[in-house]
Amino acid sequence: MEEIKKERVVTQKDVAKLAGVSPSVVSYVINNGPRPVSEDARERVLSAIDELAYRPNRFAQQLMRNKWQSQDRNQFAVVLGGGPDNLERPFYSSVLAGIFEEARSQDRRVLSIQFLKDLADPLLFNTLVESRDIFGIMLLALEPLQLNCEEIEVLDRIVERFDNVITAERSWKNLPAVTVDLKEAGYIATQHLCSLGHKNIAYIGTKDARLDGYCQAIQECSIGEENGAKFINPDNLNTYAFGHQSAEQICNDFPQVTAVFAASDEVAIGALRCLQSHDRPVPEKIALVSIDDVIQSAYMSPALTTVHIPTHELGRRAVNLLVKRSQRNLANMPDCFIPMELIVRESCGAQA
Amino acid sequence: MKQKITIDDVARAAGVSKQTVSRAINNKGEISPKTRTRILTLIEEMGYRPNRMAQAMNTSVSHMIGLVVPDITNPFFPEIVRAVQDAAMANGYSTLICNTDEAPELEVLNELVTHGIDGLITFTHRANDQDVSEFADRFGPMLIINREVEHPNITSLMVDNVDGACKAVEHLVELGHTTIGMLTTELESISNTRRVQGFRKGLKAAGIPIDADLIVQADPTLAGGYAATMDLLRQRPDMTGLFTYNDLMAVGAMRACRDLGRDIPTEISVIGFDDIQIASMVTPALSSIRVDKYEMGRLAFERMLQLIQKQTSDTATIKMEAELIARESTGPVPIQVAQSTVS
Repeated sequence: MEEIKKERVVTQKDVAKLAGVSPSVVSYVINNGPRPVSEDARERVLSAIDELAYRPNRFAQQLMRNKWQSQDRNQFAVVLGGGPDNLERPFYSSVLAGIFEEARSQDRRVLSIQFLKDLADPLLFNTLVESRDIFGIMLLALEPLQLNCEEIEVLDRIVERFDNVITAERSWKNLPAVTVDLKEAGYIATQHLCSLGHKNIAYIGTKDARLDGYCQAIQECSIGEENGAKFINPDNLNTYAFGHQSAEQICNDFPQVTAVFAASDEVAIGALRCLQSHDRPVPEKIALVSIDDVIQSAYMSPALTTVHIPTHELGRRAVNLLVKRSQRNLANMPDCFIPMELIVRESCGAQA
Repeated sequence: MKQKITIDDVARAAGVSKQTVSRAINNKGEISPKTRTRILTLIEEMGYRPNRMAQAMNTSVSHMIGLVVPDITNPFFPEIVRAVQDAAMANGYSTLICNTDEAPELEVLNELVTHGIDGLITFTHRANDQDVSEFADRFGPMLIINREVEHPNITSLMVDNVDGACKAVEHLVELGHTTIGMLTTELESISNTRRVQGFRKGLKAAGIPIDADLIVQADPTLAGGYAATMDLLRQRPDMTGLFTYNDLMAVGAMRACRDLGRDIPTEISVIGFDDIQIASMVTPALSSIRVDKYEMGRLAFERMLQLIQKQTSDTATIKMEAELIARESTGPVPIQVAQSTVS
């Protein structure tokens, strides 16, 4: 038996021989079916497997020749902050579409899409964060304000365990990153409203760099802070619901507001829905500008004026960064900011 | 190469027996919460991965299920993902989520299995029946959504697409529409076939002859719905009702109506299918046929769990109804059309 162990890979046949059963019985035991196996035979197979240190995975891999092995290293994992509702958000689905497209064109594959919080489960963590299976891990949607202690711990463990980890959209500590300059986006959007002559511009969104960009633009246009109502979501989410609910407040309590800067298109779409039904038509009574340019924004009525973030490109570049790092011994690449531009459509009133 | 960490190593480090470590992993049998936490922490620290082979021999050991979706970027799927995850988590399971995208589905499934999962929930729609059956032979309990495959290991969950589409047509017919169009999508999609079937059935039931010119194929996207509606309305300005394969197409269609100066719902009614989030956020809000996607994911996991734990061997198809959600985008047929139809 020692001989077998040293000289060649142990096969199902070896196990079968030692256990005194046919190879298919070994297979039934391993796969738990499709046919039943007697307790006795099962015991014997198990102890033979144990004695020979037989590993079915390896075996399967070799059977597929090197295909599986090379395929394994062609895979990477995507780990998302937040929960599955992030997947429902058009912004992330577009980034993911870019990720899949680039992965495909480079003959790579996404092994799985996992949520950060799920990786607090140690078994899932060990299954996924394993260098035998993947060449890299891409972190996405890490909204710093949304991360709780447990998630931060998981992040630290990922970085500690795995070498090639990058982050897309948001930065995290000093990991290599492809990110979006949210402050600049906020500035461009607000500045556009200022340039259209608005003096009372509300902000709806989360407390992050977009708000900083908004404040900077407001200051430059010498609009007093008192003329900028801010609706900050305590839950740190830029959703339809938050846009709707904030617009409701504007309709009821802020008659002086003539323009709204929404932190995301979803916020804008939610706000739009509310403004239209409260006799504050956009853009006639209220101008609306947002950020993202998700695919829906061009199909809204009115179509949204928004700062275009090339989400697709963001996903593609992130895959590129991950692949390049795996090929070049994790060489440090310069961080890259994704370029953006204002797309003027109907909701800002500039075209009227 | 690193020495592989075994259950023995974990047991030794924790000062407990192998059986206790196993109980901690599986959260089964008698074990104090304190010991369990201590062992799980060690597992984490040492980087122990339970032996897949052992898992395969003893069902319900990994406490992981695989969830394979064809296109995570389609807004239909995330809610199902969420439901499966919620249900899984509540039952102490974790979910490995994979997207087949355009990769061969079986390749993805085969890969997933090497990660030692107890059960599989999937949407395979491209792989053929035989390949799926062969996979199920090797694997074990799997649940396929929106597809039926005869196999003792396969349970199907089917949304009643025919009935759903029928309800959309009935709704338009009740509002007086008789010239009703439909935007369909890829021919190979089973849901598409069923929805077209339901559309025809609905028209037939109302005694409205089927007009092939009013059934147009397009991409199941915003852009697809927009372009197809622009063309259709130019060719058939007499159309007053439009049913689309999904909501994304409907939102695109609504924008096309607006660009052609056709007011919704006074001049034309639009109804989608799926009831995705944005349906209630557009103006006018989109009428749709609602598939309870959360319930779908919940039911899928519930049955999966029973199958894994061998509480049932019931692989009978789970059926789900689709319901009409009438919002603002559908209204009575324009008066002049109604009159001309009468006269």
